[in-house]
Amino acid sequence: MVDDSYSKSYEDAENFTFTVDLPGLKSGIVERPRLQRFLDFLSRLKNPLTIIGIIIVAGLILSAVLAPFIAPYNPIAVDLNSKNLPPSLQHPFGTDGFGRDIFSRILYGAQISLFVGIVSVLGAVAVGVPLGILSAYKSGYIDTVIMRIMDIMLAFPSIILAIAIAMVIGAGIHAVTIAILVVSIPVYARIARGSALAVIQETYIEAARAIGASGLRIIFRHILPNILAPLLVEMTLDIGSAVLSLAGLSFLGLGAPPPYTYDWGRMISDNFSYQAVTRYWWQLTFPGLAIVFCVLGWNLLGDGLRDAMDPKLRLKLSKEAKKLIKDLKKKQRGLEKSNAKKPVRVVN
Amino acid sequence: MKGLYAYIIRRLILLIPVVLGVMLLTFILMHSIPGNPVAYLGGSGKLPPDAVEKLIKIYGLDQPLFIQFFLYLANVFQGNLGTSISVNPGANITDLILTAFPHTVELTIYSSIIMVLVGIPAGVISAKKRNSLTDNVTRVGALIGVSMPVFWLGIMLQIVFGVAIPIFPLLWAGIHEPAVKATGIYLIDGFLSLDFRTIVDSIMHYALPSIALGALSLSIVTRMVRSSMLEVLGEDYIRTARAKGCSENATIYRHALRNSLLPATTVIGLQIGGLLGGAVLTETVFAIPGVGRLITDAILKYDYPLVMAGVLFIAIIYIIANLVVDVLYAYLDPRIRY
Amino acid sequence: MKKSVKYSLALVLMLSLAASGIIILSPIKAQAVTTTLKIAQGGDPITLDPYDSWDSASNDVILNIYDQLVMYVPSTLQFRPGLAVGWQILPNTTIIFNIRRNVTFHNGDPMTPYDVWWSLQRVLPLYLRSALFNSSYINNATANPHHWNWSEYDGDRESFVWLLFEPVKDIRMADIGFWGNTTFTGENATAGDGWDEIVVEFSEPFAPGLSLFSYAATSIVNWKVATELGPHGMKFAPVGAGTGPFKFNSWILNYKVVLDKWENYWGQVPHVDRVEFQTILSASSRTLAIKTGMVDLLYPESADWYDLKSDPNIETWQEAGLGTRYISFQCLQNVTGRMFGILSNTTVRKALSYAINYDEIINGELFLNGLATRMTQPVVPAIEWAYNSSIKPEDEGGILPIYNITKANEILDSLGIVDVDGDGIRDIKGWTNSSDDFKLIYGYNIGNAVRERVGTLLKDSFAQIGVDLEIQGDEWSVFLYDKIVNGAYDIWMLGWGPDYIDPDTYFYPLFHSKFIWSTNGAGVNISSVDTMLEQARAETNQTIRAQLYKNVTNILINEYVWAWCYIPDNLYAWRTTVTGFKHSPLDQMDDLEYVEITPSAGAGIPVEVIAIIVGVVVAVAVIGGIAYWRKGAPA
Repeated sequence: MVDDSYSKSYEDAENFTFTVDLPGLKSGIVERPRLQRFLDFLSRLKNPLTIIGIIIVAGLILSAVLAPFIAPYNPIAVDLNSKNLPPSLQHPFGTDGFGRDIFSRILYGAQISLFVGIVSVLGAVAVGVPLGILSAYKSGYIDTVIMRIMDIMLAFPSIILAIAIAMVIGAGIHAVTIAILVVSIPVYARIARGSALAVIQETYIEAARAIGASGLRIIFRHILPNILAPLLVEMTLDIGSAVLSLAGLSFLGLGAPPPYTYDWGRMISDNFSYQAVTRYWWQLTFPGLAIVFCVLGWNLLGDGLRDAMDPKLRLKLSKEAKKLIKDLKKKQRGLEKSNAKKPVRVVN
Repeated sequence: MKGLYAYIIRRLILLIPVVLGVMLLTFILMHSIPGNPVAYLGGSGKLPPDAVEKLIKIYGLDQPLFIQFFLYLANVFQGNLGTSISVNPGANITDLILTAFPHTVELTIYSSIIMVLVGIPAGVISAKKRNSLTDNVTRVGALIGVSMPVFWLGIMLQIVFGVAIPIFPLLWAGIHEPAVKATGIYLIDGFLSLDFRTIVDSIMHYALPSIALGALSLSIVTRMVRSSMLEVLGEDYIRTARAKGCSENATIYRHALRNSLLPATTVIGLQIGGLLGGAVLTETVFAIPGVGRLITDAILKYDYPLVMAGVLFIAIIYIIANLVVDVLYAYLDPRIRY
Repeated sequence: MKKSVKYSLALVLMLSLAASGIIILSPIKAQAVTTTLKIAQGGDPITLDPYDSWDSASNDVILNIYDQLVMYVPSTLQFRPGLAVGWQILPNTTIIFNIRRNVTFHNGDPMTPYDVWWSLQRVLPLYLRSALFNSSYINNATANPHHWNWSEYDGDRESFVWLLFEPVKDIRMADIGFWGNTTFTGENATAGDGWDEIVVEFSEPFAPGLSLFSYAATSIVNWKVATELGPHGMKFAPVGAGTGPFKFNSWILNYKVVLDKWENYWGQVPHVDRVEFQTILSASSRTLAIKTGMVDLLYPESADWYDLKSDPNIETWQEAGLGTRYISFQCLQNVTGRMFGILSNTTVRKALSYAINYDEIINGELFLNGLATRMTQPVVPAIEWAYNSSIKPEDEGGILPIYNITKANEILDSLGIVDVDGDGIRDIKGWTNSSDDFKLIYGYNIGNAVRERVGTLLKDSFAQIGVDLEIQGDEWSVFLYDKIVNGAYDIWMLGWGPDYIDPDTYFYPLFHSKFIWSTNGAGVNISSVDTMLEQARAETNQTIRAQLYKNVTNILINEYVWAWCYIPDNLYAWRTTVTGFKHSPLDQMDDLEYVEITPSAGAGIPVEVIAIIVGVVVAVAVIGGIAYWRKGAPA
């Protein structure tokens, strides 16, 4: 786990987008079919960093699913004749002190990381989002109580809360999953509440109420779809931080029980010794790199999704409009350049 | 200003239920953990079972839970955090936390310096040269920083700068102790007593841990400053400044930086609050006897009173950091009403 | 002002700052050198009050602050006079100690027989203690207002080792020839006025009696100081409480305990001025600490042993230890809430004994790294007279099982335990009603890396003999006080350290049926073993005792109640600047008074160089910053 995870929600501020304020463009807005909308969305993911993210995540999922077929060795089979071998063709990432192939273990480790990441995030959403929406929809007393409880949970340093929860349940992957899940509930409750509050004030909710729609219908039909975008982005980013949390908790010895110790964080802590630091560097480096790549992949994907889902960009522009914007951008760039060329110095 | 004070007081009152909730939650959690702190005293297993029973009685662990909780509350309000059961049996918990805290503070100081001195300029330069090579390198670097497990970075730093190129000491142990211990924070003590060796030793010993710990906060701050800077650069008044012929540097450092630092203040404040709460993993890797390690140790040894007191301490610090940030924000940004 | 002038001014300022730093620094370097011995420990001491100590971190500190009546000749297991100049062992049940005269505590108080009596009675079981205080000949003592208040000490808390002192019946101050019927002067008794004997009486013949008085727990404390300091003070800052070679200076919790040389020590006056016991939790950190010279002495990790050994700046010592490590089987037929059976069969236990890779556990880098010897029987070779050296592993021509998967498979096959349903796991229907698959549970305590790794190893080897092993980690207290004693595991690994140097401690608590549900976790219940162990305990003739223990050993080995694993070596490592270190076979660090230390040039970059580098870096950074600021934000 990162030493501090309060930062999550502040990453939202990254979503800077270039907006063009042109009243004339409105004429270019047309209603588009769903397929078109989806294709647009995909085209907005074409950012190279996002593509790297997609590749990493896809690779991760593939290696988790295909691990039993593509892993050259059994991740838990002890082979005392090939202990502590450096990376070679037989063992691309070397072997550990039991002679287990680190490459195979890392492939299998993807299963644990994916499982913990996805399950804990889905679980947190399943608990946090209803709480947040309820809080926003009911307001008043219920809102206060729910949000106070969330405040209390946020006041804990997440790693310490997670350690405590994991110890209550007992060591193991399930315990760690639940710990991470519980720790991230307040984040989702807050996001859901914030987005829902914004939506509730819209006139169409007012209208729905006026025609007698039930509360559940309003929530499912109107509120939920409208808060989906920020949630999806947060979930993607959160899978990354869940993997980090898992690594941290495993490092402290709370992860999977032996012999299924091919969890990446656990591999680092199991191998972390003076010998490994001075001699068997591959035992520490590769599992760590696996964590970095995994988290990086989810973060890149999350960033890309956020940019792609940004409502400000969600306009289908006509050809003329696109051309107009292009010209405008060109002009502005030219202006900037000319400005930059001859700086006006204010001399006092 | 009057409004500000009222705001602070209102916020302080609102803290009470949160603090009580934190206490209750910790209490429930700690008492749900299977295992018995007293049996831990048996260490090598020589402690006979009837002695365990006796100790359970002495520590009041056989009382109903709600009675234990109210006893605990009553004690805390009298300023008595109790004594440790298994980490340092019999030691006063307030002492334990207060000896550990300065080390955490010192680590936080160094990490914050790195965070501010590197993070803000990196973010500004990155935004200023948007889409340039510098920008891309900074962005990817910051992303990797956010994606890296702190403990792993610590280990890698140990391998590289402790073993391969031995520049820095690998561990906290062996740090030169100041002759005068006014604050317990060695850097500050060194300056107070003008003891140059203490200062240098403190810098050397905290270099690797604070880089490991600072890397994460640094990345977060860089990302934050970059995005808020970009946002500000798109504002009308920047365009105005440029239009009236202000130089690019003046535009950025005079007009944009100030405004974009406002949201960064929040992040930095919360980061510092979080760091003060104990960098559990960094302290574990570098063997720094700080608050984070103390509490982890206590949890792993089922030391209920120490865990409860420690978590309470950290939670209060974090809540206060939150409050300070909010107040600072309200103070700095005239648009915010309280 | 011109820019260049400004910059050069700033540069001069910075350089002068750096220079002044060095000047400030130099007097510190010039100070008189005090020699400090730094020792790394894996954990903080629990207490510095002897009677309460049981962990090795506390013991090591306590042994240097306090002395005991009986001590060991350095580096041996032979007794030497400590605070008792001599002792007499009267037939069967009584020991008389003659107390050393002219010994002073660290605060200058002379040590009296009363201090000795007072310190010894503290470790006794509570009922005995109150009886001693109420007995007629120490009435004066109880009337003393400074009397130790039991209730202060966490209620009526008993010493952690009181169980060992159960055979003690009475401890009293006495003058030979006038036992019990002279006028008693209580705490005012001073050495030399006739009251310099302490008599200890046992309620039953107890062969290892004398060794009880060499424990850290029976250290002699200054009763006045102890009473004044109270429990808390004695625990954390026992200033002036001991007579040992070092006196307490300070203890920074979770960091270090500092002891100072005691100039008036009755024995060898310490060569070093100061000893620091530093707490470094992480094993790799400790190794790095000694390699970089941050500490001078420690118990090394077996994994890093060869690195330390090959380091020219480090000396090492290795010898067979006194503790044992074994893999225990749950031999009981039926345990409440859980049906056993399969492991109550001796032949099945024998088969499993062949599926344990002893060689890897002893020599594997992740395990003992070659720093252990194979355990062949309950008792260790150091206790020669009770050790049967003819028992050897099979590869050395003996009878003890070695790692042999084929043989294990053959034995199981011959028993008719075979894989019926073809899932790769043998089926045991008809043997037990617990399950069809031959499935066992291995338990270990979380945090013990070796035991956890043994689980991984066993899982792999047992899979090869068609036995499924579930590895279950539990928190230490749950592991020991809940799971093992309640029979929740089928197989587990444990260690045993001797309470005293006598075979009794290796047999009686571990194999007597009286201790099933506590220390006899395997559930060994053999009546002939019980009888022989009781006989051996009360017997004083060593030849007869040896024969009894050897008989018991034979029975246990043929019953395969344990898989006899290994005897870990005692390991010490110290920097070459340290000379005269006495390595104790008891795996403890007493006798530090003999240690000498030559101050070395110090590892790493000299502080002056660092100072200059830091000064220059700061200067450059500041000047660069000013330059950048000037360029970036024109005034």
